[in-house]
Amino acid sequence: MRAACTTYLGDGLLRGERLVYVGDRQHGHLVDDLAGLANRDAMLDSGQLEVHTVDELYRGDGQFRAHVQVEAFRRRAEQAVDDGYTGLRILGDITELIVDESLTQQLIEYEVAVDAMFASRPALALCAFDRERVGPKWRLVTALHRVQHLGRHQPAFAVTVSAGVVHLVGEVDTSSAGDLARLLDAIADSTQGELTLDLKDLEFIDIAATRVLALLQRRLGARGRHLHFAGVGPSAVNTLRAFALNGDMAP
Amino acid sequence: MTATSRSTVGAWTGEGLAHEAFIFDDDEAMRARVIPYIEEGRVQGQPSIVVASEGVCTLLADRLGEDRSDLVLFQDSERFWEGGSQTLATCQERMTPLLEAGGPWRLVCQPTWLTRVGGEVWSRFEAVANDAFADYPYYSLCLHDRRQLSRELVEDALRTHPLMWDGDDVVRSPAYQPTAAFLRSVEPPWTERPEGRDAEVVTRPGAARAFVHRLLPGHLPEDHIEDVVLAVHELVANALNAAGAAEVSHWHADGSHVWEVRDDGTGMHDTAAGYAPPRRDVPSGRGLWIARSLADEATVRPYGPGTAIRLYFREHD
Repeated sequence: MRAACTTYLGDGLLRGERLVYVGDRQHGHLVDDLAGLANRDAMLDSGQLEVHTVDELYRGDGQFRAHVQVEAFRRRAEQAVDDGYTGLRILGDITELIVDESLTQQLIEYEVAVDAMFASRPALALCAFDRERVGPKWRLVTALHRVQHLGRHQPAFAVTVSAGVVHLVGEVDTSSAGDLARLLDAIADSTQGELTLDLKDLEFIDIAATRVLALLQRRLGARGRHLHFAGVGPSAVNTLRAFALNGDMAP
Repeated sequence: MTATSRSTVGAWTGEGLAHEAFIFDDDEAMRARVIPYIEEGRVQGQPSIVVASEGVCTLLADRLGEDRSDLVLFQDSERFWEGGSQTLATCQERMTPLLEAGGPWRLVCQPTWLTRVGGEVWSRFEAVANDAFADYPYYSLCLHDRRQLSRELVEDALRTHPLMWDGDDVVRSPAYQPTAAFLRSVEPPWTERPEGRDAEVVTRPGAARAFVHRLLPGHLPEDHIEDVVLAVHELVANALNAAGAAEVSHWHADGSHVWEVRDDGTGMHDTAAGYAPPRRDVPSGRGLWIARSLADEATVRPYGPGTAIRLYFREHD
């Protein structure tokens, strides 16, 4: 974690960004994590560097709520620019939020919404978590992040949402179909109207994962909502066809 | 020639599938069989679907008159061919509205694609259709023009269709074989695996995909690589479901890449498995079907209590 702090936040420092570090330990320990940053104390004094506990930053009013959190980060990103920084960079160890089962739906909605919000602002976030404490759920959480740093673990897939389009990235198969279903169901539940699933960055999809898409289309269809497939390339065309699913081909 | 008073469909009463190979040598014989068949269907309120060559359709249309509202014609049977698996799936799709309407109906099908490269595999799908569509209430009159087909193809037609036309009536085809027996006679023989083959035991599907990528020559077209990877992956996914582990092997034989996936779980090892299209309302059972549809050949055998499946892909130069 200390190495990530130095590298990721140090890079932001060079770019003149405001830096925010969040973790689920005591304040003093979090500050210690940042020992590798030059001018740490001066930056803390000037307000370029902020250190917060998870409770302070994510549970301001006692509970974590996706839309409140996204709005708070939007304001922080704009404030950073108003204060003369080139942008906002957040490094958050959110293990505590992930292990709380009651927060899963909120967390998925949050990750999807914050991704979309940051996409249009000079802001960047790196979500960190302790894989040992998170357990098998690490795949689900990882899949909500387009860029993944997984150490020795197998690369998975990612689901990101921007401008009402859900992008499915990487490789998804029978071993990750359950996570895919959970994520897409959560995204479907937090959106309305037609949903577009863009598959252009999909490297592999099998029958088991395509079945998830077919069942989602059927489930949405029963509620009068349409699931549309876009960017269908050679990796997906065969399996989609096996379920009589059609979509727009990738150019 | 006019329609006779005798039934054009033998003992078929509109319940379940009747499947006839009609072999003809000239156009007049074809018309004499097909026109009364369609007209009888009209009288009985049974719509007809015709999938045939443009020539045959023209010959039929001349005789059937203006009113063809109960007749669906697909003139270009050549364009109907999308490989055996997909073509059978398309047949199923086209018949679904008729099935939902309660049937019965009549089909006239001239599989002109039998003479195309790779089209001879259609005889297996004719065999499989006997079981897959057994409860579909239709009569399938399959036209075989002896002037265009080799003797082997005509013989296969008589081995895969339970019924035939003796020039006067619908009779049992004496050459007809049960599906599994026919399939085994035309599929590649199940030989011993060669020494020195590449092999790996996998417990994750991703490991099997990496194994396939490692062994496939890099110069192959990308879509071919993707077909092989997906086909092998689906067999492995089924094997892992059944047994938790799968042995994947690869070797070359007679101009083909052979990929074999074995598991020792208790599973399916029906010779005909995966030929018939998956049913739309059942979400499972597509893995082997898609593997078969992507491979040039596929064979299924028991392996102890489990299953061994081989996929053949013709080598690209």
